[in-house]
Amino acid sequence: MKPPQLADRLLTFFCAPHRLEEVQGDLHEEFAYQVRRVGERRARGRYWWDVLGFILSFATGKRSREYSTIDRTNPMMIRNYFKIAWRNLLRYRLNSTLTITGLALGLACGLLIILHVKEELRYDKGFAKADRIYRINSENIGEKSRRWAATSPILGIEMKQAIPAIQTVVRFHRPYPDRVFSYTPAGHEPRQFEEKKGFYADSTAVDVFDLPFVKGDRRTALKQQNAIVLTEAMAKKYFGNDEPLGKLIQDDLDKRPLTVTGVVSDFPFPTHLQFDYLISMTTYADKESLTNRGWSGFYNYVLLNSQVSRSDVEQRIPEFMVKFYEAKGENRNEILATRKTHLQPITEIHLHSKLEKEMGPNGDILYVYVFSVAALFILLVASVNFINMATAQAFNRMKEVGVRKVLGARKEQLLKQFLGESFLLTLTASVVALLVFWVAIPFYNEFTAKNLHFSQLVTPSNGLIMLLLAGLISLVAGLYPAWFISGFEPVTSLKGNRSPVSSVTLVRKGLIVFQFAVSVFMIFSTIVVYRQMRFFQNKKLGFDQEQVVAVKLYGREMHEKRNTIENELLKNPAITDVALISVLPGDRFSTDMITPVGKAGDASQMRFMWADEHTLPVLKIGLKTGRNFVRKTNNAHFPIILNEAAVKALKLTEPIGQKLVSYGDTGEVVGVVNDFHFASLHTAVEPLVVVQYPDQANYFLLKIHGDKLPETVQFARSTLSRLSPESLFSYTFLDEKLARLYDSEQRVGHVLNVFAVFAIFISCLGLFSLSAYAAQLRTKEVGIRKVLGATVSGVVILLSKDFLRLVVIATLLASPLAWWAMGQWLNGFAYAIEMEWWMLALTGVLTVAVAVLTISFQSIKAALMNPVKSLKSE
Amino acid sequence: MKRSYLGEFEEIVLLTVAVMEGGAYGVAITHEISEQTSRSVRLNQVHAALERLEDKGMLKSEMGEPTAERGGRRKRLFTVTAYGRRTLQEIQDVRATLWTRLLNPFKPATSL
Repeated sequence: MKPPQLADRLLTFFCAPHRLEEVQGDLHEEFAYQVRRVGERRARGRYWWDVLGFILSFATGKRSREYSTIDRTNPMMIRNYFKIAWRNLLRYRLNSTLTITGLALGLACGLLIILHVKEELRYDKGFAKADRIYRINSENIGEKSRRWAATSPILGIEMKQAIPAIQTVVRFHRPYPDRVFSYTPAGHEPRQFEEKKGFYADSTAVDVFDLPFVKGDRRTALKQQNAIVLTEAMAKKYFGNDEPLGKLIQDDLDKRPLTVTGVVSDFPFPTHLQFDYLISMTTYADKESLTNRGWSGFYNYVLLNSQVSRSDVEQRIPEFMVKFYEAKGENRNEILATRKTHLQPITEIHLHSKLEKEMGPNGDILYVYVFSVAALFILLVASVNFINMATAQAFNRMKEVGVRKVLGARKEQLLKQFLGESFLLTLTASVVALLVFWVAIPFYNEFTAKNLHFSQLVTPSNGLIMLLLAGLISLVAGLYPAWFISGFEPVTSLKGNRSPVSSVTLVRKGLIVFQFAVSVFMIFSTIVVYRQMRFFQNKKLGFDQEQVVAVKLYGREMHEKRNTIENELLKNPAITDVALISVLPGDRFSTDMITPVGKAGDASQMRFMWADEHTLPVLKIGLKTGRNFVRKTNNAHFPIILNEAAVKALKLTEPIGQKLVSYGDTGEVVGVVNDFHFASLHTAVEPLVVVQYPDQANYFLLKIHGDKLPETVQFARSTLSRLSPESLFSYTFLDEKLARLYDSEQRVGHVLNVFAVFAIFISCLGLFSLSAYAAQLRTKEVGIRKVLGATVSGVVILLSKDFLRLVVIATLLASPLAWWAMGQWLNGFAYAIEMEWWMLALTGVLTVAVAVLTISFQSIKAALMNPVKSLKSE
Repeated sequence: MKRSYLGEFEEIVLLTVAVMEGGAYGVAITHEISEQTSRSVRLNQVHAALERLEDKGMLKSEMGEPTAERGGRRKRLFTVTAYGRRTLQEIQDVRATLWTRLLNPFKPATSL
């Protein structure tokens, strides 16, 4: 039975050597005694406790009494340290300001990113049962594997029956199309809104996700038929300050009244589960579809028993899968080869999941990394600044250090003094950083589409982070200068020998190179990201999104009057054409199986779009062969147009006239269009099937001629409200919609841009004060040179070239790295720009130009100085 | 001569060392104090106090015998110096004087 070894080793490290034997002996004896008294486990705990006690008492200055007998924590001495620190701060005002500004900017950046990352990592972790909730994903394996966030309506329920380790199943289903609700308060106009965020939900959701009810009975709220639970915000929107419970709210698409049975508050943490309303699952009308095994329409979440692990359950899944799909008529081998089902922890959804039919746009762990690294770099650049300025400043403190040493200060003491000073500076910078942060918050919210408040920053944990950050920075930045300064030889330092020490010059040069390498990296990244964004915005998509307005088609009423509406709209000369379409480019196109008649082996999953004969002309999609749809009279007929990718995927040599079957309906290919980018440019163009079947349409597409957009939209609004008074009017411009697809890249671009500016700005702050210092060192030299006939430009070059060389080296070092990293980033896109040499050249020129500007300010000042003055002073 | 100031804890440690007559070292003193005063005492506090008392010249120490429990390490055995004894005596005298000057000595409470 031995006491904890680690504790012993710590003790050995901290304890004064001449005391070690007795102390350790006592501790061991005590340990043996405690083992007898309270048992080994608790004795070990006590041992640690005792050792910590000793270490703490050594740490407060009782380590060794062999040499000095002065109490080093004497208040007089500490007051002196403060006084000297303050005087130096004031005396070298410019330098102090630059140091603090640099640090403050760095800290503000770092803080912002830490908060951002913290927020991203916090997603869905707040659910009380977060570690036991999983979402069922299914995957079809084939030529093009797809993984789905949504699955069959009965998958979860059957899985629970087959695998008892699953405790509860919760299903969500997003109503399609988006609901329109209305409520008419007595004696008022009806309040009608379109609601895009909501689900049909099982009543189990209440307990599994611990829905935060503020009103209503949580046990029954989602159990009754025709019940709806609202968020506080939505309840306020419809009912104002009236009591929402028990009120009826009308689903205008299904003409169904719903009773408000509960009001929930927002989750107090970020989550992917975003909704404004939940309708009880029993209300869901299409009961037949609830047993459809092949329809990925529901989000299935399962809550596992607390005793089982995820792998226990996953082991049993393949067997269950076979049973589940055999009931659908598939055979065992086929199922095992082509289907997979996964349990996805709910906490991984936000950052690690990019599946088909996600509930909403998710974050990306890549950008969490990118931001973290960028913030780290900014912090490092700011610290480097501090190091450089402090070592340069060191010579101003030489005499002080000499005097202190002569009076008996020890290196360790000086080290503490200077570390303390750096901590004070960092703390000051932190306060400034908070101010910067306060100013920056609105911009940050705009960039990241988040909603952070300054007040959220003021939490104990964030305060701790801030303090830790300040401590860390002051250590990283302060240690080297403190070590360097406290190492001065008293004799040379009192003589005032200012010859720069070569080791420190080397370190300083290395640090400048590092700073500018970071700047170059960031500038280059920014250029590439912006070019890629430009590319996205300007790339020919294969169709014309300009001057197209999409107007949403609501419900049966509008469908029935479709033709009348079209004709009425066309009466306006600015509207040149009206088409119908099921889904807008940029949105998710649904997928289905399609089989060429006579070639069953070539069946393939494809994206579907339902349209009419106007769609291709309105979007100016080019036909490759065949013809466009013609106005059809017979609805049992399904003319089909494929894109090139679909022709390739179905291996059709003679596409025109080919019959295709999907879900029992047969259609005939009448034409082939050129591939056009109906999805974002992140992915390559997928096979697409366009079916002439306007009954499936959800939007009118209005092609507008001329520049009277607002008037025309107004005209459309009044026409629709005249013809279909109960429907809402909502519209989008297609080009704006498509531009929003690249929001996340755009945000990264902005953030990188800001960081790049900060990085170079902070680096220049450092360069500025270093060049000032260098110029000051060489005042005499410059004076003599001028007396001997040196020109101003010659002197400027003399003073600048050392620094410039470093900047150029930094550019050369960072370029290949930046090139490689951005190449990796661009690889993630199906359509990306080529990086070109001029981008690197531009980066280099920019960096050098900024550096030259910074340095020349000081060197020109030095070069213009009157030599009489500089030589006279001693 | 004006004697050095002694803290309450230091006084107890010093007294305990005196009481233990030669057998006084870190752990033993700690145990003795916690038994006699029934307060929880930490080893490092006792060590610190012993060190301070030795600095003040009230204790002297020498290394003792190693034991197996201590992993073959020796104990440091403390004894009270004459100065230490005198200090203790002075403290005792001061208190005794004050007690005798107490007009109404505390009596155990008999009724409420």
